[in-house]
Amino acid sequence: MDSYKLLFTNNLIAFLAIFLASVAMKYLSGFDAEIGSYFYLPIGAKILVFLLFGRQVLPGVMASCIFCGVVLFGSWGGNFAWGAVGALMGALAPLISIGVMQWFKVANFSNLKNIDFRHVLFLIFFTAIIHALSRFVIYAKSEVFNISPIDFLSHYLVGDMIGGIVVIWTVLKLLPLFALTPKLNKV
Amino acid sequence: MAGMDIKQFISHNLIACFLVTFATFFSSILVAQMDSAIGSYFWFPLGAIIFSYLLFDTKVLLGTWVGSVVSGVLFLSAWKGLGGIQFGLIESLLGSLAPLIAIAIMKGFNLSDFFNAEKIDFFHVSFLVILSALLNSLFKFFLMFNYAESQPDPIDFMSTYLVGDMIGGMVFIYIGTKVFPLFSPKNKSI
Repeated sequence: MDSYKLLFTNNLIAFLAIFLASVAMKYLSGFDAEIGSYFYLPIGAKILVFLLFGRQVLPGVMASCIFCGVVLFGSWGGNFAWGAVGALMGALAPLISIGVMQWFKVANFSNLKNIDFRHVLFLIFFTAIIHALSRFVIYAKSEVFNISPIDFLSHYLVGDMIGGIVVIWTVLKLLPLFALTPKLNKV
Repeated sequence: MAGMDIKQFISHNLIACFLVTFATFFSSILVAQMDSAIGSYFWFPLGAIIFSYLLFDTKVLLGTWVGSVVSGVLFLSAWKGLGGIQFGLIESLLGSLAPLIAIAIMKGFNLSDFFNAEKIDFFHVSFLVILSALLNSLFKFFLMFNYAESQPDPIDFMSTYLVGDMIGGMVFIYIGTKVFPLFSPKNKSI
């Protein structure tokens, strides 16, 4: 029973993390499925929750991606079906990147304490490439989105890299500074 | 000593040039008819370029570039219909730089140095092939859709370049690492 409770809690945290990142992105830079965003924060949240909780949070990540697409981005401009397929690919991209890197033994993300931050940085770059390419193929094949290949790929690639670095760096480097600050009642 | 270094530099670059030219010849003539605008599902030159960098390090950039240009002129109709020799020079340079950037990224991010106790780490080199294929396809995609005279279907272009580079690269590296040592048993670098 406790394991189900933990699974549910982790998925809920993943859902909320991606939702918050999507809200932040929407109000900081805006988002258009056909162009992308130069500040795609949700990719960083997805990478982070997969690193923290493993692949068990995939349902929460997928649900959040679709929920954000419907609630925040107007069902991807009215193209729900293809938008949802793209969003699900966006949920799978970090997992695929982590899987490929671990399968080829170039990095190991199983022990968080021993993770090299440079490996996480590379994971962001690799995920950005996989995510941008997969979305490009899906949206171009769908023929319901009017996309310009160069603009689409450049926006998604750069946006994923910037968004990923901002989220991961903020969480891993800045949050511990506040978390480690001694509380007044303890002084 | 300096004379020896120059001699070695030239010979290594000539070997790299020959490897790339041979790989392109093999891809375009023997295995599949190559169309520069779409690519091929068996594109060995990327494997030859990676193999050259692993054997001789970054100093063979010139040799791989010249090899790519020569093979483009000989076997790919000198990029006719895409932008001619000027386009080919840039495309070849990007093709030679992509594996070099991939190697630099993997070393810079502390992922691998590709050799384990003087033996090549095939897992890491396979990942290098994938990363090089991704970078090579992206570079050429941006070049093609910005500067080429005629533009192919983006999905066809991306999928054939990616898959072709990955399959061709893996096959070439596998053959190179398994067959090459048979002819040079004293070479411990592979």
